[in-house]
Amino acid sequence: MNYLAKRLLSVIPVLLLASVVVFMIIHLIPGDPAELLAGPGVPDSEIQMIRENMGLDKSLPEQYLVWLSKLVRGDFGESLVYGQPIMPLVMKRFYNTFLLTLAGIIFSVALGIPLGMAAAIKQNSLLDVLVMGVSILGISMPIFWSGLLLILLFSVELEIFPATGIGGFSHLVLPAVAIGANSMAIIARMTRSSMLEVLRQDYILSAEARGVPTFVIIIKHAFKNALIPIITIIAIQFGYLLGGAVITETVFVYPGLGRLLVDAISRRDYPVVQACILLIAVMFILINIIVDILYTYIDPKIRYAK
Amino acid sequence: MDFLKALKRNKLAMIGAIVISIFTVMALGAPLIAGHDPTDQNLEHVLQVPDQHFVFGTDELGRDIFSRVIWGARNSLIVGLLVVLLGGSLGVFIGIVSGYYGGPLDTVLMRIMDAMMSFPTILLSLLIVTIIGIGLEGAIIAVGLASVPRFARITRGSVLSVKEKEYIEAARVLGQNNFKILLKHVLPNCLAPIIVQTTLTIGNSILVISSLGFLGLGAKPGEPEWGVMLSNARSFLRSAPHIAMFPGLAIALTVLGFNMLGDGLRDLFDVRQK
Repeated sequence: MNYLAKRLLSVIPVLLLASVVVFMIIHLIPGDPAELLAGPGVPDSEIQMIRENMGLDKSLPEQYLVWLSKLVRGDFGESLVYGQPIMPLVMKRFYNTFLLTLAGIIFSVALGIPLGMAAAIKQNSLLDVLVMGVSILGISMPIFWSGLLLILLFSVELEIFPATGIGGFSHLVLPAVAIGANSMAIIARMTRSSMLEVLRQDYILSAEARGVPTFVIIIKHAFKNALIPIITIIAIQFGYLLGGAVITETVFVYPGLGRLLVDAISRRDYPVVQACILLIAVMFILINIIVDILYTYIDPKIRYAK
Repeated sequence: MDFLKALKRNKLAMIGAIVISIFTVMALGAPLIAGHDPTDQNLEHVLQVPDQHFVFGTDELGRDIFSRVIWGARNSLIVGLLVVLLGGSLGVFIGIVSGYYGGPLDTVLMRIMDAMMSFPTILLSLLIVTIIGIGLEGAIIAVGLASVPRFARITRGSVLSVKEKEYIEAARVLGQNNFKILLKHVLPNCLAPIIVQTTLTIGNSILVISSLGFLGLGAKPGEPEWGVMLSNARSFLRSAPHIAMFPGLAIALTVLGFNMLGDGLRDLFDVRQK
């Protein structure tokens, strides 16, 4: 409990730091923030009004505190392009991206762990070589290419899954596979090497000698002890998936945060850029915390060591 | 010489090195190998499937895809090298200073690195692109800066392990100044992990930069850059799927080459992660 509380409290400085970085975007861009926020071709009088309205004439720390206090109340400001409040705009997108990332991680874990285990159990077999070959290929495939190939095969040729848009399970399949493929490969590799490490231990041999069924040895003795590095890698992959969402959402024209972010960057809609980056970073940080807490349940050593 | 022999025995590293060499030859010899100007439009031969005149076919403006892939190799390799030059030198510098001097400076630098690592690489790159502006130069600086923390961490780690060695102590006793010790004694003994990281970073940078190109935030539309080419291919997936094949294959192979060489070198040098 003590560890849990400490870990949860340690999120606060990280979140604050991330918010400072995101806040600073608008001030680091060369040029006058008020002009940037006004957009091109706006008369000086209006720029002056924006400057006063948004408090851009105050000092940076003051501005940050005002911005942060609004943020905490769920006020991200207004989109420069749509002229609407950002909050409702991003929440729907946030949900979509979360769904996509979750589907991706489920795909990569559901396929990666069994493949890695099979490769470890039958080390140096054809299956092992195949799994390792596919996985090093998977790591090097750019998402936007594998995405295009999936669309080509399953939407254009076979017409099984829709290529773009959103709505129901069938729309989620191809993006989830595209976004999860790299992670699946990495999880399979990690599972394999972690399992190989454990399978070499003495207690596995002794369990075998005692006549424990192979299946029980693999699941109960080996896999459980191989789990920590696997979970670490899954957590890291969750972060990669959030990054990958930016690209996947563009390939599949999927209305998520990533696509909104890319559009906002090319349209110079800075408040929306800030909101998207902050939300993705917060999601990333929270996932890491959840994983840390999960560890303590799997490996009590961590709980007592700190 | 021993190193080369060992490299030859490591199949993974060898295949990686061969793939990289092929792409390097393509990049260096681009004007000779490519039969056409990569930006030459030929509206009489639009969206042609591969044949003996156009081995990879042509795109929507009749540009020769083979020539564009070859010139793309030059673009990608240059970009990868620039990224690593920027991120690597900055990261190694921060890592050495941080590891050698320690103290509050070390704490502050490492906290900054941690903060940068709390964003996924592509997100950090997008953040920096927003600030410096869309385009290839912006993308190179962004991905370069985003790769700094990893170099800094790795270098700092190996500096810490080298720092306490006796030969460093000896150099200090002999009255050599810090700068000389860092350059002549510390850095050469930290090289192995840095070389591994350099190899992996070049591959990853090519991937991220082409992603930015694909998203329309990197190289300009029309440039012979692999990511941009794939972005164009999206609109013609139904009518001319061949456009989407070769640039993607080129990215995957190049990145695969660097990953295999990097993994192989890690085994060779026996570099443990973290």
